[in-house]
Amino acid sequence: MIDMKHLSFSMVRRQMNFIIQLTRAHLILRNEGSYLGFLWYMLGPILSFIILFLVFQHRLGGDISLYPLYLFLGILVWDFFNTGSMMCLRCMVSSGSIIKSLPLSRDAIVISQVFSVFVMHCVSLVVLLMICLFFNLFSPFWFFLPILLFLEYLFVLGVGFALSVFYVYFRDLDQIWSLLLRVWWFATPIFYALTETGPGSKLNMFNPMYHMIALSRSIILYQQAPEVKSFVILSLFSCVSIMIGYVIFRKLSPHLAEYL
Amino acid sequence: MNALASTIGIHAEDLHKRFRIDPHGTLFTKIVAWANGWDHSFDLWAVRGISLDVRAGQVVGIVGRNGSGKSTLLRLIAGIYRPSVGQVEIKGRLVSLIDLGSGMQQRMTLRDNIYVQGTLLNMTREMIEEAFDSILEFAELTGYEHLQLFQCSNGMRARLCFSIALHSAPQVLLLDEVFSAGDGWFVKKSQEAMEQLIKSNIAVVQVSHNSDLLRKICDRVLWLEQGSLRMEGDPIQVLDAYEKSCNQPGADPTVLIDRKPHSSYALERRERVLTA
Repeated sequence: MIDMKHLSFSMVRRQMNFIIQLTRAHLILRNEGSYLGFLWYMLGPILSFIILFLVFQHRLGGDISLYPLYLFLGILVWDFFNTGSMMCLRCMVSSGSIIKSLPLSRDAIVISQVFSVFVMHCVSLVVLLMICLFFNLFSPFWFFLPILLFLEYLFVLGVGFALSVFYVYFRDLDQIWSLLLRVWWFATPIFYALTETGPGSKLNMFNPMYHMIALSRSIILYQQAPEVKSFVILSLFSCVSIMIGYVIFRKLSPHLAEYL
Repeated sequence: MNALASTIGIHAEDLHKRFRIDPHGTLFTKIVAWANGWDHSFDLWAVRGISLDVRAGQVVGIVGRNGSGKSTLLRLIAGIYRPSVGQVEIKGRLVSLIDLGSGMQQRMTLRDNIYVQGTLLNMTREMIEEAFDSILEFAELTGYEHLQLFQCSNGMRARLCFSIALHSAPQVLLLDEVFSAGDGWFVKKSQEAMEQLIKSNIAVVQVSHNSDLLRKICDRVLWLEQGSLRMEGDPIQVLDAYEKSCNQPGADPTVLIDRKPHSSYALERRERVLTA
């Protein structure tokens, strides 16, 4: 836990080192120490892409330009949120023995967990960008991507902070959360497009995942400047998520060890 | 407290730990219990009014039967649990070895494990790099750094854990039964290394069931029973008395339980301690 009173440069450095080492450990464990393990991370999104593409390309995809890339990018962004939040949910419980025996910064556990998924997400985005380059889809708006990724990271981290401590107290949260995720997945226009007038378009204004995916698509695929309204809404969501998530975490995490 | 201000040591005052035992562990059961007004929770006082002062160069041993609050006390000192009453002050680099191998990953090489475990024990990257060869050498595992942990025997694993801990440059050291690693030769070697470490002016709290070890290394021994202090003082006296009591069955464990949740036990207890 970062103690604001004694915050110093060396402590920040130590904390960073801690996060980097843990992230490395997550990545090594996930990939069995080999770079090829990355293929397994891509395999999930690729498989759902193939299925959805085969089913929907003629029905929903007919009116959408670049439908394969549209679909694949949507799946990648969703997968970051999905995997990231699910891993955070379990991370406190799965590192229970460490928490019970060592006095360590508990925030770093969540931060590094999200960061390891984030690294994988970035690598898969690079693969997608290379496909785009192959089809000559480069645009200068790609330089907005780091900002967008930062907002995504903040949002997932906030959600992850809250989930990781709640799961310790409510052990059925994983079931509830995966149900919620499934509903959320269908509510978000990933394999379909929103119609201008439908109720879905109003509802999705309050859906951060919609903004993330829509912004990524316009920046990466459609060579458009990011829509300001979407950017503002997403920034708000990210700030609120990280603030509320961290406050919950700060409040509950000192008592974690007693429930593990 | 002022005497400790600049030096290494532990200062713990009147520590109490209450565990709230709630049988409802899921959101559904919690909602149902709340809607019906059920309250099945109760309090368990695992540590009751322990004070402890350890200066640099001192070794304090803690003995007690199973469930007497030894590990809970160590966790309170380490800051893993928050005390319900009382406070702890630590001066110096704290290293706690409550469960020796808890951060070790089976599917990682020894090399990566040393880095992760070292980081968990609060070592910087430079410290680990500097100590790396020495860690392997002490664990008698030089040349094995590319093996994965699951390919090593239990003894090798324990030796590695111990060696990393030894190199983590502790100033305040909390040990919970960690001398059982490896074969006779290694146990002897690790005890010697630990004794040398203790001589280098650090503060140590050692929990153990091994009376011979405690007699040898401790300056003072605390005997815990039911979370409270039963006896404190010279190792030989306390351990003799403790060993005698071990021939009899333990006391009734239900005294720890407080069936009235939200009771003012903590405050009461505190007043009693202060007036005593």
